[in-house]
Amino acid sequence: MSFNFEHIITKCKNQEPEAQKLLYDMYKDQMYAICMRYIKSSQDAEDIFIDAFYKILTKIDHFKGEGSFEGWMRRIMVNESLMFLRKKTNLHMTVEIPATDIADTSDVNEDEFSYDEIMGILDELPAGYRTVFNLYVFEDFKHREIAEMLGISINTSKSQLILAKKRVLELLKKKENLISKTYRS
Amino acid sequence: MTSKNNHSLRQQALQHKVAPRESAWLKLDSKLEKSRNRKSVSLYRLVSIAAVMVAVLSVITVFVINDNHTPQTTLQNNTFADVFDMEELKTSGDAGIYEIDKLRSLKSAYTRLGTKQKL
Repeated sequence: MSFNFEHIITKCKNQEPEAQKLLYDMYKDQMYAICMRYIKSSQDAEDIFIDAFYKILTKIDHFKGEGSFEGWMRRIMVNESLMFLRKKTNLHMTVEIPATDIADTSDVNEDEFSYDEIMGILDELPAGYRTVFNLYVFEDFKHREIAEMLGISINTSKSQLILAKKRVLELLKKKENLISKTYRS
Repeated sequence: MTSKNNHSLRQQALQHKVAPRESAWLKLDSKLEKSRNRKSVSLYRLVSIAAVMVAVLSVITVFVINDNHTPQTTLQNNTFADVFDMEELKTSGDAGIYEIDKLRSLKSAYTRLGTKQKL
């Protein structure tokens, strides 16, 4: 299996169309899901997905085999999505909570969210909250890395995450109340 | 949200899949096709530029070789011409140091002077 995969990569490095299609079919669903998490509009997400996959297939010889190939692909998808967000949308990342408050509020949300619950309300979050939440929770980036990637301060990144968590909790409670009200009535 | 919860969310996110529309591949494929064509065109252009350069260089080399041969022949001709001119002067009837009778008399005078001194 691993030989086959390496064979596909080698063929893709030679720009062979059949191998490119094979690689696309192997990863398209996972990679498109990443773009969909960052971008609200499915049309924009598709455009970014196509551009990012084009980059993957044409710059595949840049992959030196350090780390996983999937991780390298994910990074390209995330970078392309972030580039789009920086160009097209205002991330509104000016709100900062004082450092003391960050320490106090970081443990406030004891509730554990399930993946499906989060996915259900991710689109309702403002772009700034959603981006930091995605990078921290799903991509496992540190606040220092997020700050560098988005050109913001570490404190802004931390406060965006806290505000995002609060917003997720609020939205989940709202949904729960709505469900219980309809159930009672 | 604890780090344990974050980890489980991350694992679920890694497995999360959303299928793009079928048209996505068609768009991507047409982009790839364009890039392939662009590459082959640039390779063709590179080869033609190299061929033109080789042709120009060979023409220049031929001219340089021809130029090196031509002045040498002219020089040789000139030398012959000079020699020929000198010979012409010798045979001319112009009087001066080339007059044989004068030279003979000078030689005999020197010989006579020499024998006198020996004596």
